[in-house]
Amino acid sequence: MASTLKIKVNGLVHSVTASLDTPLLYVLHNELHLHGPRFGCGLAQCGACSVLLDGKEIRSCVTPVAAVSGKQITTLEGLPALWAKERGTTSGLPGLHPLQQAWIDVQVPQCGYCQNGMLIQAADLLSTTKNPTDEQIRTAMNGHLCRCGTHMRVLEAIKRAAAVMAKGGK
Amino acid sequence: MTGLLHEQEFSRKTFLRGGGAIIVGFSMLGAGLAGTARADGAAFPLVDPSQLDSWLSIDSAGHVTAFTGRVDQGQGKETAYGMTVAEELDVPFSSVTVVLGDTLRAPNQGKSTATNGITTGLPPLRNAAAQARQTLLGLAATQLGVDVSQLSVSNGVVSGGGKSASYGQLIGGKRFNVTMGVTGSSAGFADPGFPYPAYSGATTSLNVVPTAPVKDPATYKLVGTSVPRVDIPDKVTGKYTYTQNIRLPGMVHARMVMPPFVAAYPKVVPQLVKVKGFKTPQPGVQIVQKNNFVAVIATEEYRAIQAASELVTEWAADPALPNLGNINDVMRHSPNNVFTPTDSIKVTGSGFSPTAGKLLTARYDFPHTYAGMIGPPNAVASWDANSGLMTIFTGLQNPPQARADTAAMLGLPLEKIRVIQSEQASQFGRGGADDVAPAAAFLSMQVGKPVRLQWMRHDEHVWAPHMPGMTQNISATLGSNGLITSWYNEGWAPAAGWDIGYTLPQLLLGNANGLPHGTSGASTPGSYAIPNQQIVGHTIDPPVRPMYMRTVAGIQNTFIQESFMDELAAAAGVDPIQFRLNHLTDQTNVLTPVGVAILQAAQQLSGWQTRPSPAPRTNGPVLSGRGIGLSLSTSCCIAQIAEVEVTRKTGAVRVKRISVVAQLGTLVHPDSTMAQLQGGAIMSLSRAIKDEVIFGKNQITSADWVTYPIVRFRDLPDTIDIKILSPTAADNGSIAKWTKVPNGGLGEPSSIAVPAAVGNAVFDATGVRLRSTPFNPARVRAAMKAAGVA
Repeated sequence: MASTLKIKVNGLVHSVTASLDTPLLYVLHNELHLHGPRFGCGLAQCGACSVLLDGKEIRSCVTPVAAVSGKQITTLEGLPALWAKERGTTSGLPGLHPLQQAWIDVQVPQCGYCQNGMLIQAADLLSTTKNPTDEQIRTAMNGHLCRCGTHMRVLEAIKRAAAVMAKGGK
Repeated sequence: MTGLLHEQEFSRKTFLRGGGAIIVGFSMLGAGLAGTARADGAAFPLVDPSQLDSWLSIDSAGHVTAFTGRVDQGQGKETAYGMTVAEELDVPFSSVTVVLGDTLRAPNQGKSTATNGITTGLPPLRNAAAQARQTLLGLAATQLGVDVSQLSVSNGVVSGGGKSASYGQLIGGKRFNVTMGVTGSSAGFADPGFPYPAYSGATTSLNVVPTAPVKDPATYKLVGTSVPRVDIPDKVTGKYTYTQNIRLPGMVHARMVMPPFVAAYPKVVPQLVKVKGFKTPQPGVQIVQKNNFVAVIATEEYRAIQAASELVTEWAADPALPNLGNINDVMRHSPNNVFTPTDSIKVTGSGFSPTAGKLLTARYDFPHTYAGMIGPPNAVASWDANSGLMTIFTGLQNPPQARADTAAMLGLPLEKIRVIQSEQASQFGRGGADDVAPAAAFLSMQVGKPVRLQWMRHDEHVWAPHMPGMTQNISATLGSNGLITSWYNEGWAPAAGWDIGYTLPQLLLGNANGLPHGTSGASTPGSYAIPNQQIVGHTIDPPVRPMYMRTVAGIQNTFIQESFMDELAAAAGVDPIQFRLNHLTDQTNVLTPVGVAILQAAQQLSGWQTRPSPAPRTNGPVLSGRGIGLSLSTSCCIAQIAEVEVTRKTGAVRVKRISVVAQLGTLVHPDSTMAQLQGGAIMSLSRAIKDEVIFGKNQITSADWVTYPIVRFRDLPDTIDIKILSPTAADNGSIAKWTKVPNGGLGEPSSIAVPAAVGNAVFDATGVRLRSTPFNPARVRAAMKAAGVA
């Protein structure tokens, strides 16, 4: 049975209609028409659906929408604003998150389907670990699958972004 | 035809851009979604490849749109094609947009597989652009009153004799109306009995003949540089529109309810299912059932997902299904496929003789593997009963197949169906059969609304067509000089794929009509100078629905042959690379010097220690070793070297480093080449140490990423080192010199030799020979125990 509830996504409060057990992914996808989180497995095995919930990576394909009320969801689309907030810059249009810029500079994606989850997980990692070692990065990212084999470039891009973010984005 | 919809009204980028814009975009287009019903009734006419206008259009602002029937899977084709058009036309790269795979707007160039994106996908665009430039120069000559010989082009502006005119001024939105010669368009493979053979048989080598020459590669300014890929920024910001993001007004959601067993061969299958109804009430959910095709439809996506799992169905098992549990043994005892009743037997010299030297014999196996779409296939179809038109949004590798199969399945003319391509998760061959487009179309017809059909993870893992495995016997004799004196290789495998007429919805509805094509079983040992060969291939009935997957049988044959070469090298007491060099002696084979150059470069790149395998035995808990795999083809020559550490106690194989040396032709976009070599090595690593479809009695039981594990970040090597050798005319390594095709391709070759390299490295480390993949800890431990090494 559908309910109307409010969820906060990328800084905005949205009123959505869904049954309370609907996984967040389908609400973000079908109600809010967001392109970031996407269906990969529905089993929390691959990470394609990842979003940040109060800054921590979760699998939106198994998280019921009722569980996110009162919390902040950040999707791929919201990373620029998230970074602007972390830097304290609120005027003007936010530039890309350093991870997104690094992803472009290193030309990470091939088909790109898994990259939403990669970027979200990397954002989670770098928000808590300023200079992660290669080992820490591999472990943090281990829950995200990629079949095109972009892994080595993902590692390189995370390291580049970490360096930029450590300098405050300069 | 393409000229009816002005490019700016229906630019793919415009209507596919971000968020809810897809709906807004369509309402702006007017006739777009419902189809441009022309007075003559041909709403979606076939695109005439002889017309220059079918390939290119230029608007009044000078913006160029190129149309290709090929599609991108993330390899960077969209960028490479745009660069080529910009180069030939002398326009800025930023002024070119490429439309891929829309059957209304682009010529039918067949499927986008077989490492053909550049080798055959690119040339018609290159030629069309050269033709367009020539035509535009002619227009300028007339308009400016200046002889063509006095004209030059820069940034889309033609100048000469003190005057100039831009492309936009010269043609601006008008048609070229130039007819070109067409080659390669006759039926590629005949499917007798299948409707639309000419359309479905359109070859991938379709090309057009320009009256002006294409540019000399020595003059390239753009091609050969690594322009940032045009699709990456949107993929990184969340603006990119995948098929998954397509939303149409009034759209409903569908989920399949699949049979509990797998079947392969197109034959008339009686109705095996009884649909009993839902376990718990599902108000508003519709059930669609016809023969063995069962689906549920709901207005909300999650309702459809839940309803599919709540639907009670009873299935009678097909009595003809074999017990698939020991699948490779099943294959050895399978009869030949009816279309390949005769075994393929190739004999050279005096054939194989077991007494022609020291005899080695082995059985090798490679499992069925799954392509591994990270997001399962999905499509959106919209049936307009008033106009009788079907519009389908899909994203697999074969838009013409999706169109032809939908037409055949629903009894519609081709001209009533439009397939519009967007990207999905990359498919590596699995997309050769679009299972969702015809099914979504069928459902839309049934319910009278646009339908989005999404396969779930278990649907895809179990019911996707899989790359068949391979089982082989291989023998050779070694002469006293350490050279191979005769060679025997016999194998059993199904042909890898049906391209047309054999999608899952057609199978379930009972009107599959595809034919297998190709042979399989065993292949000749490449470029090695081995006299006296006997190669026997049994192309058998497929036990489950087959489809080619990256390298087709290449990775398997390379694993088997390169592992056996390694066994022979060890028996001869010769270093593995030296042993291969000793057999690369046929100077009449153009690949021989390339193979030599690659092996020498690979030795250097990896710091290869020249000595026989296995490495001297050590007693520690971890054993180290190195191994090589080599593959030589006119598309791409490649050597991959693996350095491994094997943990004695657990059998865990850790690949510490992969070194790759490759040579192909002129690179269009070097960074994409590197990305393919990196990605191919990783996917190939997964097929060495993880990938395996698991069979139960008559079902596939590897149904998700836990039961079908693939390589993860923690499985990666420390580094992947890559060297690309450039062909030069002088070293006889030029692709252009051998094949008259200036570019090679490496979508598949990049993924071909790592299992061989890893298996050989494990042998080097442990002295234990692995003759089947995957090299997971349980198998490696068992093999080491059996050899007394654990």
